Amino acid sequence: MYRKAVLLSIFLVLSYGFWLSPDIKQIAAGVAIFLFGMLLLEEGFKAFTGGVLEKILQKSTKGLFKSMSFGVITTTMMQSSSLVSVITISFLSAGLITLASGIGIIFGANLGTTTGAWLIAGFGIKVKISAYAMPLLVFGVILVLQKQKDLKGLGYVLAGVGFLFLGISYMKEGFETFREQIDLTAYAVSGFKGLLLYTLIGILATVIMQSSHATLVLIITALASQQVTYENALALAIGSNIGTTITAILGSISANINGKRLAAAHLIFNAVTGIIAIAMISNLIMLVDWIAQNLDIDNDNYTLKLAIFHTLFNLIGIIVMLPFINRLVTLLMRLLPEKTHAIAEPVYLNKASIELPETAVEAVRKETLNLYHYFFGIICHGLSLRVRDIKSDKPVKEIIESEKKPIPVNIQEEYTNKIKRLYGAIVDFISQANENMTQEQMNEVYELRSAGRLMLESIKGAKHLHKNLSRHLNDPNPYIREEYNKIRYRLGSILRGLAELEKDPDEERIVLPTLEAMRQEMKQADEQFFNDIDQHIRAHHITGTMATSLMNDNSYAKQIAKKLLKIATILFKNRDTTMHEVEQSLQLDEQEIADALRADKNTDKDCSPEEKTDHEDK
Amino acid sequence: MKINELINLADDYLNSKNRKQKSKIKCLKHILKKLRKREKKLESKRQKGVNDNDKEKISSELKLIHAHRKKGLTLLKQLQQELNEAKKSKKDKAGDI
Repeated sequence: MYRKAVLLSIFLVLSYGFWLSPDIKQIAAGVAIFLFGMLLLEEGFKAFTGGVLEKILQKSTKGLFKSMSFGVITTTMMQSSSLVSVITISFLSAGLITLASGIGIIFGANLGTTTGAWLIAGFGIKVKISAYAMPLLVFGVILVLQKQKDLKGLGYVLAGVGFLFLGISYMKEGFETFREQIDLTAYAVSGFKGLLLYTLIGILATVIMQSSHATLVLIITALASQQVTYENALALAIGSNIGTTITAILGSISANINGKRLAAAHLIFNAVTGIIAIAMISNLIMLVDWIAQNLDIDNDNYTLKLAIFHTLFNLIGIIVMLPFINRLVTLLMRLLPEKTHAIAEPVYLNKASIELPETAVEAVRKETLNLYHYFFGIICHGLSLRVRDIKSDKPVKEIIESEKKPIPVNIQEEYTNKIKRLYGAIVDFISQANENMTQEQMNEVYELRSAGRLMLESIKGAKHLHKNLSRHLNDPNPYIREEYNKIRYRLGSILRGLAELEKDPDEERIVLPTLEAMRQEMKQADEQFFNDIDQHIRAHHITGTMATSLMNDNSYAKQIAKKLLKIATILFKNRDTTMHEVEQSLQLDEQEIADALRADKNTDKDCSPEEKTDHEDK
Repeated sequence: MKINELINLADDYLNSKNRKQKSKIKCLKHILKKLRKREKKLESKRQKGVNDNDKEKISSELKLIHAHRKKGLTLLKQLQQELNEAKKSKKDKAGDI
């Protein structure tokens, strides 16, 4: 309702303006064309985000300096700090980069966006850029009509740049004729009051247009046609720098807590930079004059001086804020803490990731891992084991012996509130995100979805097992208690193995032999189980009914174990496709496993470890 | 560098089969190193003194790792041999011309 009212008021004000003066119409049309150009530019760059951008981002954001440079370069190339900040938020939400790296990119983007002022002030105002716009639009539209994704993307970029140029040209012409009729400088407010007032106008203009670039073009064109005073233009630039954070704030609404933290960091950085610029305005003006003098820029070339000012105060902001990045991260973590949910909410799935295929795959992978952590907890509790014990170094046998009483847990409720809910969100997200995915990416998300389904099925088994386990753990018959504890030990050992596997860093993790060993152990334990049951029945330690119950629960345990291993194979597999394929080619068949387990390692003379080392190092 | 050598280098790079083979060899070496690391880790864990049950588990995994490494090594030798043979036959062909 509120938004509709605002929109209606904007329409009314604009309509009145259009009726009042055709020049306002021309300036507004220029802004609209400019914004449309930016939309096309964003659309164009999205076409290249099917892998290349993500890979570059991952590699170039290791370390603060790298991430800052990345922010500067990408924003200079794309001429949109908003696009870079929104993409950064989506990457942070998907867990591809750290918060510190994200902040580094945002800092860099703030500096990169100042190149726009230089381009417009140095090039856009002097040259008739609408002449460049036409061929760009023609080539762009032809390419947009192509089917190939890359060509289409390039078409959008060209058309976007074309519209940007056209928009600037319209604004420039509008202001030039406007100058002849109305003198806006008559409304100039000098002094500190003017500084604050025009900063506020700059903020508002950027919030409405959602582009500091568009505001800056408006300021520069107005300044070039002397519609605003130099001092007021500086204040407008400060305001536009603060107002630009609105895009990131809006982008973070659908993002997770890390995305929100980054948007907050963006706001803090730009607000602090703005306050510094306002506080030091007279010193900055003197510094700008000195730099302009040294760069041979005319004293009355206020547009280029504005570009210097814009770069300078952003640079000062970075220099001031850089030493406090880690403190800023800590502060944001404290101010915006991670919520613990009784009801599981998706952490990594957000709208911002849907349109970027590689980010979407990563988001699904991380969310499935999140689901796995809930699942892991439920399975542990279902076996009356504590997650912290399973993840510790304490021997599993000791844990079983110390936790003899069943842990009260409502598996059905946990399943409904956490697993089913989260899995539903993953399934929904996949069906929305797979439109832009390649076949390989689709296979990957479908595999992850199947891991989730295996978790759902295992929980159903765990529910039955938990019911009988809770009853028999308090059973006066020591034999049946012992058998149920053996089941707990078997599954507990697998859970311990998986926890260790997850703890291993990616570069050290090798799942093949570990899971194979677990599979063999499971097989042996199953055989042993039936031998033990036969013995207990023969010795009248347990009744036939008890044996049936045990056999049913053993079957549940076996199914859960099998599924746990399948889930681990999917979640912890090597993410490099070739590496995964090669790893799979080393898989042993039944006979090879049997031979390997029979063989005594020391008597194997086929190939000594030294010989192997030589070969591998060659 | 002579022009022929340059052409050979470019040909080597563009030959997708060769490139795949090389990348496979690289991955295999990496996996073999990972297996060796895991082997060392488990051996030191076993030496640190764990209970009999865990000792048995570690032994089984070590045996399997050994079998995987053996299989990997055979595959590595085979891939390296195939690559050498391909290079050799290319050289022979170039010599004939």
